[in-house]
Parts: sequence; C-alpha cells; structure tokens
Amino acid sequence: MTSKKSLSKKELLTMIGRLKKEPDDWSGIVGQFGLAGMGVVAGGAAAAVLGAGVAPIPIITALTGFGVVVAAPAALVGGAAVAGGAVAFGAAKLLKGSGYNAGKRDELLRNYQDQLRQISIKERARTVKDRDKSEFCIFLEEPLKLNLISPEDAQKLIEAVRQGTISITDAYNYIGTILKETKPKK
Amino acid sequence: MSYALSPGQANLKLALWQSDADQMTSADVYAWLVTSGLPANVALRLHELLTYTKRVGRKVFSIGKIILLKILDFVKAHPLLVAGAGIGAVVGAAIASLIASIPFLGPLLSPIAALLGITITAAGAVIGHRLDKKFSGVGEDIFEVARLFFDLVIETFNLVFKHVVSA
Repeated sequence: MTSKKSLSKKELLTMIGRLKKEPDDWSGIVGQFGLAGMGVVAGGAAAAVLGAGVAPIPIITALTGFGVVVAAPAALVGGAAVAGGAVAFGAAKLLKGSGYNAGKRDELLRNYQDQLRQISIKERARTVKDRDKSEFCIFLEEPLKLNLISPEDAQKLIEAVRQGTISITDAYNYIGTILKETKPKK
Repeated sequence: MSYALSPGQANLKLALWQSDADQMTSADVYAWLVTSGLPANVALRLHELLTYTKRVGRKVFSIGKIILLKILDFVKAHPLLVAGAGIGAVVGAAIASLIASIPFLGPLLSPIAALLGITITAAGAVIGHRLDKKFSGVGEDIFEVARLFFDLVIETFNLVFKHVVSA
C-alpha cells in the first residue's frame, strides 16, 4: 500500500528541518507534508481496485477466471509487461551510503544508542510525547542524507510511527541495525 | 545465494509491510476478493491466507496477509494484463512466481495454484497453464512479469526467513 503522496528526499529533509525548529508541533508539520493516516487510504484503495462494494461472493460458472479470455492477449501482455516493469516494486537495490565514513558512523551509532535508551524508558512508562516522535524524524536526517535509507522507506517509517503500528523503539532499532551493518567508507 | 538487500534493510521492509497489513482490515480484503472476478472457491482460499502468520524472534508477522496485499498490488498495477488475460491468470502468475521463489510458501499457496489450474514442478517451472493451451507462451510471459514485480518481496522473505524453520 502506498501513502497519498510520496515525498522526495528534499521534501523529507525540509520537513525534518521544520521539526528541528518546532519539535512540539509534530502532528501539524507532518500533517502539512501530507503524511496522513494511511489506514483510510489503504482501505479505500482496496475497495476501489475493482469497484468493490457490499456483495456476496458471486457464483461463477466458469472453472476459473481464464474463461474471460476471448481475444489473443499476446500484444496486450507484451505492453503490460513493459508497464509492469515501470510500476513494479523495483529490483532490490542495496543503498550503500555515500559519505558514510568511520567518524560519522561512530557519531550516528552513539546518537542511536542515546535515543534508544531514552525512548525505551519513555515507552515503558507510556510517556511518549509528540516531541519524541519529532526527535525520531530528526534522527532520520543523517541516514537519509547519507543514503542509508531510501526516502520511500523513511516516509513509511514516519507514517508507521505516527500511527503506532511500529513503536519508536523498534523504529530506532531498524535504523540502528542498518547503521551497524553498513560498512563506512575510508 | 547472494542478496542485493542487507539483512537490516530486509527487516525494515518486512516491518513496513507488516505496518501496511495492520492497517488493512479483513473486511477491506474480503470486499476486494468478492468483487475481483475470481472464482468463489479461489477467493475463499485467498481470504483464508489472512490467518497465516510466522514468528521471527519475538515478532509475529502476518505473512499471509502481506502476501495477499502484494498480490492485490500486482493486480492493481496491471489493469491491462487483467483485462487481457483475466484476473485468474494474473493472480495465478503471481502465486506461481511466489511459490517458485519462496520455498516456505509452497504448502500455503499450492492448493490455490491447483484451483487456478497451475502445476508447479520440482524445478519451479510452471506447466499446464490453461492460458498457454490457448495462446502459446503467454502464460510464461505473465509469469515473468510477476517474477520481476515480486523481486523485492522474494528477496526480503528469503533473507528474513532464511534461518526460520517453517511452522
């Protein structure tokens, strides 16, 4: 499922810049950048795929859906194959990180450990505030700049944290793992 | 086997897909399935996938639901293919490519593949495709489209569940 709007790396960094200035306005700023709740969007998308509505399972007499094939679809399939390539998830691609050197790596890992320790305590005590979510977004700035995480994944992660489907502790850990396993350039 | 993704990136991908799955209700998926044009028995079998989960460490992932949502994405992304070849062929190709590339999904998806008239050989080849009986080679083309589309899913699942015993 995709969100309403895909933010570019530049847009995400702009959003993070604003969060740095006003960390308590997390909901407002993130909302302004179109990172709305995805649940409604996702549900609507599913229902809209083929004009879904409330209906019983239709009784289909043909053995399978192949019964609807009436014309040679070879050309159509060929065309769709090209289109399919364009809209596919994309071949798996490892982001290797540019400008990620040993010094930067140590700094980011220290920052990650500090933030993780603090947010774990807050999540256990159930005292997480919008400012904590802002701080997580701000933490994503460097990995995003260094191409350690794609803008798409960063956006989805922020949305998941916003909606509570991924805890902030887990979100830090996912990024922390990537920081640890990516080899810095010398 | 070498992977383009790192384990950490694969974990993040799966977590994000799980997050998507958490936001999609069973009713949403059901609404799509019943109006998709799939045979009723196939739609029911696909809906049953929602209950299939797999544990990795302390986390439980809704693998069946994630797979179903990815198949839904595939169908959404290929309206011309659906119009030309039929929803059954498109879903069948998606299932065949997943079975051929992610071993632990075999027992889960094979019964649905059988309902769609697809046979998977031990080597992973798809034979007996009803579409190919009418138009030679078309089934193979759709299978290739599906395989490319699911590239990231296949790699992610194989990386994350590499050391997880099927349950």
